[in-house]
Amino acid sequence: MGPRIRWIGVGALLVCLALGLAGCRGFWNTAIQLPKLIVGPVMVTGTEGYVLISVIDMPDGGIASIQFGTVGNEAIDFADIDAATIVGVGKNGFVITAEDYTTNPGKATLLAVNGPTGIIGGEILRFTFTVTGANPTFAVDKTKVTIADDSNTFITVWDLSTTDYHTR
Amino acid sequence: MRSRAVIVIIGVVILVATCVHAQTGNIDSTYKWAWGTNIGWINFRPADGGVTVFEDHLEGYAWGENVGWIRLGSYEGGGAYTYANTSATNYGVNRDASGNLSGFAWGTNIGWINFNPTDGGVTIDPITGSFEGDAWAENVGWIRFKNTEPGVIFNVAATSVIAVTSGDVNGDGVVDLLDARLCLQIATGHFAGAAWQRTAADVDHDGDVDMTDAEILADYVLGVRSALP
Repeated sequence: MGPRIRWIGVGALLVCLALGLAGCRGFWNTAIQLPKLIVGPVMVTGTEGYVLISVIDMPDGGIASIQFGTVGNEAIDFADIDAATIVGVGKNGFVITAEDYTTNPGKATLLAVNGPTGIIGGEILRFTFTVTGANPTFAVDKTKVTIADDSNTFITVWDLSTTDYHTR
Repeated sequence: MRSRAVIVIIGVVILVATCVHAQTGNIDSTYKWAWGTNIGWINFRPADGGVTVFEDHLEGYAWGENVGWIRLGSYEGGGAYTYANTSATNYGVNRDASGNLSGFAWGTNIGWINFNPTDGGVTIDPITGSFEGDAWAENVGWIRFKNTEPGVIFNVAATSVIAVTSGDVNGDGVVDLLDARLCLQIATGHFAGAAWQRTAADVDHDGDVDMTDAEILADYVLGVRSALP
């Protein structure tokens, strides 16, 4: 019994050592949370719909300005939504200072800024509209979006998420 | 305790003294010398100072090897500015569209220097940035900015003339999202901005920066409008 117990002890020690070394190498670390721009799902009630755009985990100073492409290179594509009825509203201090919506195909570009401060997390934009079909969509192309922080420096590393901010 | 306080005060004084003329300016690192007939060399790009040539005025400090600091103007905010030259608080050297200089600089130990005196005058070539001509110091005579005669060749030259570009509120050479926010911040009072930034943000050229400017600039950045007014 004595030698067997000894071997079990040595084995347990080796397992602990392996786990410890793995921990030191960061095997158990969770992925770093990048700043996220969250485009919520299209929420529909009857013929009226809305989309919320939010942010979370923005770097120090927070997001203070955002641009969704340009005219001719729009960052937003939408379908089954009446372009003429889209109303964009800034939230938490954001103001939409320029916007352009076109239809067939539905595309949108806009620029919004927050004069007083940046936002670390929370809603920044809300779009309401009239739905014209059974499958309304409102999609954002991350490659065409630019964001900047409160010190007016571009934030270059961030993720786009389509998970609803309130259900993440 | 008392000696410690004295040391702290001396340290602060030294720190402030070394920071006073911290700007480098835009004078060429080689072509930075003027010559005073009675005071010797004057460096327009000294280690702890430097002169900046803007489109319509000059700012900063030159260093006379025998006479100390010479200040080119009482204003230090950059951008568009014109010195009134009516008192000791609003003096400085102005530059017109053709590059002709006028107004006064102040030498700590030599008094007023006139950049547009009778029988003299200084110009800056708008293409090369080269200073040419002579200024007159009331107490020490002529100061020459360029001499091409063999033996003693010297010159002061600006590497560039800082221009204010409409819409480029942060001065990085690009009109983009960052400028749109700065413009709105100036319009809403969340950022004062230097004089040249307010000039750049006044994209409708009506003399103030307001929401109209912010919206015009945002439209331009977004491509809704193809050009600024």
